Amino acid sequence: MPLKLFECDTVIPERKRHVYIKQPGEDTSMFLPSANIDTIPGSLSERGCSYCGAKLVIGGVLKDTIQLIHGPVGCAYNTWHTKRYPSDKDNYQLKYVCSTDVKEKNVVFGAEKLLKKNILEAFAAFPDYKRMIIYTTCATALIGDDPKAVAKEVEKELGDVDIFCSQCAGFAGVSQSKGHHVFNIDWMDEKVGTFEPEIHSDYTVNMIGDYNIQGDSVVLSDYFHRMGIQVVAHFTGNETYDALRSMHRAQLNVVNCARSAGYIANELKKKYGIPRLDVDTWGFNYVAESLRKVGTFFGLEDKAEQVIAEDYAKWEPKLKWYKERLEGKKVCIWTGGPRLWHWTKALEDDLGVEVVAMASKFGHQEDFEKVIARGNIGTIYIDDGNELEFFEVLKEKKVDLIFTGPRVGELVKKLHIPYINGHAYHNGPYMGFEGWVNCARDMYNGINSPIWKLAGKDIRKGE
Amino acid sequence: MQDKIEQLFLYFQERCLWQFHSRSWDREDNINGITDDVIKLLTGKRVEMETPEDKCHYADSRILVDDLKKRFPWILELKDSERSAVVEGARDKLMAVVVTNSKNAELNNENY
Repeated sequence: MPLKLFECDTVIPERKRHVYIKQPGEDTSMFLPSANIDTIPGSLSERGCSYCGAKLVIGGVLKDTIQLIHGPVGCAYNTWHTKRYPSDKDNYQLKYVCSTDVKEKNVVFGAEKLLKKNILEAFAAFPDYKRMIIYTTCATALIGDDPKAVAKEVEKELGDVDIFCSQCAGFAGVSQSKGHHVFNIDWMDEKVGTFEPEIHSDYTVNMIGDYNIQGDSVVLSDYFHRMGIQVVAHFTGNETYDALRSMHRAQLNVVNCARSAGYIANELKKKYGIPRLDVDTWGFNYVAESLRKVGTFFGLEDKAEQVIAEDYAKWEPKLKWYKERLEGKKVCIWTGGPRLWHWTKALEDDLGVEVVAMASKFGHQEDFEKVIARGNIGTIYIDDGNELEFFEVLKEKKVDLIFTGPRVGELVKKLHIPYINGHAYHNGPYMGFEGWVNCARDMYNGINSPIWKLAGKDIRKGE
Repeated sequence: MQDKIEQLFLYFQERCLWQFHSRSWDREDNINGITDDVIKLLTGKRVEMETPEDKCHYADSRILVDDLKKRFPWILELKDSERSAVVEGARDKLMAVVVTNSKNAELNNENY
């Protein structure tokens, strides 16, 4: 019985379709968890909303773009500054977000005038910023506001600004995944091909699905730079609005997060014939393989080998130190989707740990095909998990560390189990050779912190 | 031979992201294109690189072949016809698992 019903789910037996335990000899044509479908009523989902997927994950990363949230003020706050993606433009995108602060009277009488006023105020407040993304939210989608029409009016009036409207309300899909999808497709349809970049290398790529979490993009850019490759656009880490309009000029799409950005890679292939090369950017062996593939595509094999040799010499001894101390530890990966399959083998091969359970908030069945192919026999694979299920996993597996977000992280901390922020990292970057050592260090520090013993003491008893 | 096919199949499944692209037609293109190149490289034949897509398949297959030789040294002991047969066998199983019999409900959506 590889599809598993947790005890806590007895009253919601539909959850059985979302949980799988891999058995010897099985493959994903035999069993594949349901995913990217409605949350089962009765299950307290950890998912985010579709607007959040568009804003927090993709659009909000841009470093030179005013972020204007057309909705109640909470929609702005809850998708602002909670993900740590810095930029080399004084972290503008982490410091500022704008909201139209829609109220009940706007719901009754319409909010387009309010939107226009806010757009003009925002451009006036940030006179050096000429690019803007407007996000529809649930309230303004329901009342039928037309932000595109308003944006066109403003573009005409101001003359030197460009505005993109992300029309993906929170209720548009079953999770944040829908927001990734809508943003990708609309950006492709409306903005790619509208700006011509300056090309200064014979070798050009788009780095797709990397959001500069604590500097990831900087690490990857450095590798490409050392290989003589120009990154036309990072989708969207540490990137500008106009660079994303230039994506049609790259020769190769290098895709990391296929879940959040595979769509635009597919469309670029279909419309412009730019091929898609999927890579893993976490883990020593994977990163080396990825650089070799990109190098081979361009005939730059020697350059790739040089980068790999230099970075192995610098970072591998440090990784080995941590591997000796982490070997045999049991970990869980409870994150969004792709990090399950990006990380499971990388953690096991490079650090000697055992990944015993993986849960995805918004992954599709494609993500489960990937992770089940890479994951262990006996490992538990969960779609859209809830807290009671997590408790059962912890009781059964006795884990040493969990990669997850702050919400579930706070839960497991109360059980005195260390967690590493699997979304925004503890002390990243985690990508690349250097990054994987950072990840190993955070794991080591988490597991060996004295806080777990201290937290178990009851000071009222004078222990 | 069946054991060797299974070893390659499991390795491809674990290692190769190209088999898991979003739609069945992309998966078929990648599986056929890359395994064709793998066979050519393993049997000393020339790989055509006329389009950017060809170059991309070549990049994937070149790195794959280097790794196959290291992980499965028995492959070097086989005759060319046996090398082709073992890769073709693994390809057929890949195609069955991730395309033909896949339980992924999104594979045949018309749009990305």
